[in-house]
Amino acid sequence: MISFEFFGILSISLILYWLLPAQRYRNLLLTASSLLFIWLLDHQSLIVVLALTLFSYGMGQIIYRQKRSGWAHALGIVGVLSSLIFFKYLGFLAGITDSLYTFLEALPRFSVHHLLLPLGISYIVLKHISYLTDIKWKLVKPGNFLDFLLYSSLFTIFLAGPIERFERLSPQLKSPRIPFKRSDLELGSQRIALGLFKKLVIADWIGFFIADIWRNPDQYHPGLAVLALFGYAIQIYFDFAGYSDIAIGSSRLFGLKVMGNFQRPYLAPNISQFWRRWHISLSDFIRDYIFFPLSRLSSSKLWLLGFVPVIAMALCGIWHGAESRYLLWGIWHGLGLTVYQLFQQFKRRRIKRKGQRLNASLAVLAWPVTFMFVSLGWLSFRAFGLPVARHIFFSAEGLLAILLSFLLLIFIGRAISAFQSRISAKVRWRPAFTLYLLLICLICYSAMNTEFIYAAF
Amino acid sequence: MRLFKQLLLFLFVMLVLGLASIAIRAWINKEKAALTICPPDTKTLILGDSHARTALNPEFIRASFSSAQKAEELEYSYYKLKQALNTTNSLENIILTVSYFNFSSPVDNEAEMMKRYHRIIDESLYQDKAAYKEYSAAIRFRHLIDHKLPDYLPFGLLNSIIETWAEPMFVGGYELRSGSTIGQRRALDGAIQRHYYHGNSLRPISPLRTAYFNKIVKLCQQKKVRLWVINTPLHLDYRAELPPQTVSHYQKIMTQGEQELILPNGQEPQEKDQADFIYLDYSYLYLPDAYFFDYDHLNSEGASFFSQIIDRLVNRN
Amino acid sequence: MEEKLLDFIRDEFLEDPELEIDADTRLISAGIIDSFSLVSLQSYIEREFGKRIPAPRITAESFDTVRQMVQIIQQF
Repeated sequence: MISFEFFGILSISLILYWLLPAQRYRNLLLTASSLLFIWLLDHQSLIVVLALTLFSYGMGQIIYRQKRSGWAHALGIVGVLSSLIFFKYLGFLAGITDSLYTFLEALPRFSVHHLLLPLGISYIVLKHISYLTDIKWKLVKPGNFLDFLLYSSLFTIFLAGPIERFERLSPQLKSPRIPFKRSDLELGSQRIALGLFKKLVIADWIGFFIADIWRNPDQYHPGLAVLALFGYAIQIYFDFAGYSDIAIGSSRLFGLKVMGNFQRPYLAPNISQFWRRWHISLSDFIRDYIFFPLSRLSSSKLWLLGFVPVIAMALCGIWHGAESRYLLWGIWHGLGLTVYQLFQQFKRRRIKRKGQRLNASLAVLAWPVTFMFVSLGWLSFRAFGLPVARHIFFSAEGLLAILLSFLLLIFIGRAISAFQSRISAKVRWRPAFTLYLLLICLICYSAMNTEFIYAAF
Repeated sequence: MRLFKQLLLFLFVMLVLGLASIAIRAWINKEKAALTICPPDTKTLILGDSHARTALNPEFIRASFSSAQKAEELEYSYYKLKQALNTTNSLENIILTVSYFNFSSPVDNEAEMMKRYHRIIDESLYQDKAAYKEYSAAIRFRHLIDHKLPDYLPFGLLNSIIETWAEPMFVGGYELRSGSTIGQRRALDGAIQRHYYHGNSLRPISPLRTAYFNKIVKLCQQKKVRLWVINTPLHLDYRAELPPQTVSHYQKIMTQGEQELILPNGQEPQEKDQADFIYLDYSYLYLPDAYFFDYDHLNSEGASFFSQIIDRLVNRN
Repeated sequence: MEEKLLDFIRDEFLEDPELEIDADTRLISAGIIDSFSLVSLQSYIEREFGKRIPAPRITAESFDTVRQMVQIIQQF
C-alpha cells in the first residue's frame, strides 16, 4: 500500500475532490479513483470486485423488499463466502483431500491451478456480509448502487481495512456536501505521517533486527529467541497499526471518518479487553456476525463458554489465511477467552458464596499474563514460528528466559500503570511535527523492508 | 513571524541533512570500492549458486575461498567477480559453477535479488535489463533508489549506513549438507518445475544471462586469471528430466570456447595457449546416491570427494 | 422496564455486591459487563420483552447505560 500508485492517486483525487461542488460528484470521483487503483494493481481483482458488488447489491435489494428474507440473506452470504473460499481456501482444501487420497483412494483427485488471490478480497467479503446482514436486521437501508460501489472499493481502506460498516459510511456519502475543514487535512496528514512512522521506522527496523533470529533460531541463545518473540509482537502491532493509520488518515483527507482499528491493545488487562482493542474492525465483525448469532443457538453453558468462543476465534484465525498456523492461533485465543470467562465466573461465585474476593495482589498478574499469552500466540501465527518455539521451550535456558521475562513484565506492568496516571496531558500536535515525522520516515526508509504482514489477506 | 521562524528552522534542518547525506554517501562509496569478497591471499575463488555452495568445500581445495550464494545468478556473479578482482591481487583461478538452468529467464524474485546485491552492481546492469526487456516495476524502483537519486537527498540513509557497516548479505560460502533425500520423487518434480518451467511452459533462454556469462569470460581473460566452468554432478533421475532445448542451448554456449574438456577417469586436462575458459562437465559423473543431498546437490561426503577431484585439477602445480 | 433490567444485571453480572448501579451508570465502557454477559443480556431481553436486539446495536456507544438500553428496545 505504501506505493506510488496509492499516494499518486491519493494526491490527484484529493485536489480534484475538493474542487468539486457537490458530494455526488465527489463520490463519483472517489469511486473512479478507487476502481482505477484496483485496476492498476491487478486487472483480475477489479473484475472480482465489480462482480461481487453487483451480486451483493442485488441480493441486498431482494432482502430489503421481501418480507421473509431468510433465504435471500442465506443465499447472499453463501454467494460471497463461496467466492472467498474459492480463491483463498481451495488450494488448502485440495491439499487436505490430496493427503486423504493416499489413505482412502476413493476421493476424486483434482489439481487446482494456482489462482492468484484477488487483492482485498478478504476485506470486501466481510464488508458485504455485514451489509447484507444489517439490511436483514433492519439496521440500514440498501442505499443506491453508486454509494455501495464506493463503499466496496474505496481505495483508502481497500487493501488493509478497517472493515467499515455501510451504516457508518453511507450517511457521510449521502450528505449534500462535506464541508471543507482545515482540521480534516491536518488530522489526516498527521495520521498518515504517524502511520508511515510506525510502519517504516519502528516495525521495519525491529523486523530487521530480529529477522535472523527467526530464520536461524538455533544459532542464537534461547533468551534472544524470547526477545525476538516480544520483538515480533511489537513489530506486528506497529506494522498493522501503521497501515491502519494511513488508511484512516487518507480517508480523513476526504472528510470521511472511518472507524479506528487499534486502541493500545497491548495495554489490555485481560484477553477479553485485548480483543476489543486489537484489529477492532475485525473483532467487531466476529462479535456481531459470528459470536452473537452462534450464542443464540443453544443456552448450554458448554456451548456458550466452550464452543462459541473457540469456533468464532478459529474462524477469525482462518480468515487470515488458509494455513493451519492461523487456525491454531485462532483456537489459542478462543481457548484463552474461554478460560478467562471461567475465571470470571469463578470470581463471581466466590463472592456470592463465600463473600470473599480474590487476593487483591493477584491483580498485578493480570496484564503480564495477558501480554505473555498474546505473545506466545504469535509463535503460531508467524511463519516458521515452530523452530523458535521448539528452541525456547525445549531447553532449560529458554524456559528460564520465559520465567524471567514474565517477572520482568510484572515489573513493567506496575511501571506502566504508575506512568499512565502521570501522562494525562497529551502532547499538542503542531503541523511542523508532521513534516519532521515524514522526514524521519524518509531517512529511515529501508530497502530491506519486510512486506506488509497483513497484505495478503 | 512565528511561521517564518518555523520555516527557517525547517530549511536549516534540510540543509544540514543534505550536507550530511552527501558526506555519508561519499563515505559509503569509498567503502563500496574497498569491499573485499575474499581474504587477501586467496588463490582460487569459488563462485556460483547453491550447486557451488554444496559441492565445493574450500577445505579440500588449496588456498581457496567460497563465495557461492544461494540462488545467485550469472549477472550477480559477474559483479561479485569484478569486485573480487579489483580488491584481491592474489587470485589465479576462478571456479564458477553453471548448471543447465542458469541461462533461463528469471521468473520472479528479481527485486529481492537486486536488494541483496545492490551494493556491488552498477548502473549498467539496469541498462542491460532494460535493453533485454527484463525490467519490471520493482526493478525500476530499485534503479531509482540506488542510482538516480541525488546525493543530497537523505532517502534511506539509515539503511545505507547499517548496510555498509554490517556483513554483506551476498558473500556466501560453503554449505554443509548431511544425509540424503534421494527417493523423494516429489522433491525431484518440484525442483525440475522450479528450475526449468514457469507454470506449464518452458522458461525461455535469457539473452541477458548469456551475455553476462560472456562478460565473465572476458573479464577473466582481461585480468589474466584462469576460469574453470564446472557443471556440478546431477543425479541420473534429475538428468532424465532435463528439457532438451535448455540443454542444447547450454552446450552450445559451453563449447564456444577454445576448449571443451570432459574428464574421463584419470586423464589430465590439456591446456592450450588461447583458452577462453576451461569447461568441466561433471553432470554425467556417476556418483552413488549416498553422495547426493538431493537430486541436484551433493552432501558433505559428495562434496569432499568432488572437491578433491577439482583440487587436483586446479592446483596440479 | 428499567428496574427489571437493573435487577437482572445486579443478579447476573455484578462482581461487587456493594457497587451501586442506576439507570445512568456506564456498564460496558466501565467493563462491568463484557461480551459474554451481553449475550445473556440479549437473550434475557428477548425472553422478557419479546424484542430481539441485533448485535451491532449492543455496543458501548449505544447500549452503555440502562436508559440507553430502554431507548433501543423501544425502537425495535
